[in-house]
Amino acid sequence: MRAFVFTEMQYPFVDEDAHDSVRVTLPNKVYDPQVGHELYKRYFDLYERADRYGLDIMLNEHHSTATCVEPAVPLTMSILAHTTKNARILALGNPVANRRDPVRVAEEMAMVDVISGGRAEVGFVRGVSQEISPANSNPVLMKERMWEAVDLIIKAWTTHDGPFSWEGEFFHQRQVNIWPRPLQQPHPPIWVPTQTPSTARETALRGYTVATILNGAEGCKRIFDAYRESFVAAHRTEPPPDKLAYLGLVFVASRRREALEGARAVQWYIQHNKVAPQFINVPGYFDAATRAKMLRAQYETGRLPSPIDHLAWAPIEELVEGGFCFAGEPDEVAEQLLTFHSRVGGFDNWLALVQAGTMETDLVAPSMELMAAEVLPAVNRELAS
Amino acid sequence: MIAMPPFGRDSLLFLHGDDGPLAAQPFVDALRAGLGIPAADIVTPTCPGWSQEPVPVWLRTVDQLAYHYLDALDRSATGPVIAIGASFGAWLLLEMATKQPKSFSALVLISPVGVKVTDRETPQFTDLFALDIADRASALYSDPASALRRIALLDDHEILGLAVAQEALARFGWEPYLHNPLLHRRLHRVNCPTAIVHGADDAFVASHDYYQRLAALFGGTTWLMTIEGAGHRVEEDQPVTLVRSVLEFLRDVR
Repeated sequence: MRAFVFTEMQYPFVDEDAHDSVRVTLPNKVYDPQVGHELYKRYFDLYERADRYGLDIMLNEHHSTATCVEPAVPLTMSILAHTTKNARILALGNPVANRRDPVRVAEEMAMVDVISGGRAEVGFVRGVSQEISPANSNPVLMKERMWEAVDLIIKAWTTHDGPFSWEGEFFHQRQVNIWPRPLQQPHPPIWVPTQTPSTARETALRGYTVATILNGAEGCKRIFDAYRESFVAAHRTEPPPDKLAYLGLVFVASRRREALEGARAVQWYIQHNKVAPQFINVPGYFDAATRAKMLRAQYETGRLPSPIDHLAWAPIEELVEGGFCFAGEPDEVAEQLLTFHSRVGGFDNWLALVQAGTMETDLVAPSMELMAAEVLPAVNRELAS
Repeated sequence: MIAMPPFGRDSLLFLHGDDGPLAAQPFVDALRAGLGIPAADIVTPTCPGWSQEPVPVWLRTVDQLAYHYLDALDRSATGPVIAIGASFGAWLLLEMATKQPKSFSALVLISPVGVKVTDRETPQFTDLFALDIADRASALYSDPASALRRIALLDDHEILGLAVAQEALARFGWEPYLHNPLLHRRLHRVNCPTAIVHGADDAFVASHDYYQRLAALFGGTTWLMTIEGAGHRVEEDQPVTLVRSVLEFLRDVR
């Protein structure tokens, strides 16, 4: 098993009560660039330490939001491609349904792959509904757009004999002939994060790695089962466990009490994500039957409950029990991970949200160090036996 | 793709608005009664996207929709028809009438969208996709509180219809938002008598003179009619008064 550590690079100094939403409409006068400068130093320091500890790195991209001040994942990837030595650098992911130019994405990822010496792991994502307005991306047919973009990117990565043209349903390009081409051959590994079995099935058909996020053991198993079933049908063999990934909150400490406190600090991530309902329940993003239920809630109560509301203030022990969080002393976390592994039928990529809110590197680094030095070796010993 | 029955001598075409056939039904019923014609004589096709039938991936523009409607009209009507459209339905009529003006003897456009006259930094229409339910009601209705109460009472089937309708509006009207940037450059081709009817309390269009400026772009005679006590959704806010205005216009032009 590998561990990819992750922070959403939040800007945590926002008075949420003073605003309807911390996404889409929050004015950027709330953002102090000097504070932001220090925060970027913190986040890059954290990732560079992860590399030194032998961990891998996960990054993502969101727009117009205090919850993730990382609007261009190729930029963060390219910085870390240069400053780290060994870590795999995972973008989870490139919001290709919202990017107007997939060839540009192919170029960016190829460049990161070459700079890093072949360490790019490239995720493609439809994007959450809150991203639709900032991208001015039509929410209808996003999946179709995403898969066409992926097809075009792969063709751009794998065509080496001169230009080709693409005249698809959503994208038109001429003289596609990217420089540089990727270092990894035929192309970097592809990942798709999803919370729905239908996308997991499509991901399996294509043989990409599927990742699911904060779904708990039951939700994760639903996604993995859908993936496995579709993978077997398409490829006549079980998927290798490195095709499966799960993200949970993580904090490891040498004393249990400290670990629980640390995990509560990571839980901040779920507690501070206030979004106005109209930017969640966007027409076309969800199927009409799901949206109808959400509309009913909006008209009856004036609000729209988040599917992870129940996790926001739950006791850490409850989150651990449900498989949303891994927290404790190293042997406890190893045990939790093995239990989770067995509950979901196995997986090889542990995506670990290790930092949130105002957590400083001095607090997070020892947790990452214990993940690398004690948790992962114990888990891998057990899995090998 | 578009089903229309054969048109009779008194038939007219009605194209529903953003929220679909259900929202316009009280107006259609009142119009039928006012005209004293059989139910079948108001031809009310449901636009692709507004039912739960799948829509082909390639069908994403009002421009393309217009050709399918014209094909259906060519099959069903032997001569020019009177057509009424509300909001999105009025945009669709404008696309059809600019392509094939001879198919129409008169048009009634209720709070039409589809044309932009504002500058690049002023959206012509309020962004419905950025409003919560209360602000959305304020943008569309003269009496938002009663509209909200009405929507809260929709049954499961009806609220599903509303969700389907909103998705369809996003499909065809997300970008450019509720307009075709080139449509105003060919509106002069519409040369039949045309009534533009709008609510006195329409808070959905950016400028108060939108409908006047729109009326000036047509090639034929236009009637500009304002309905008191109505917002953008005139057919829902004041269906009976709207019917009176429509009948008045039709008496003038027939």
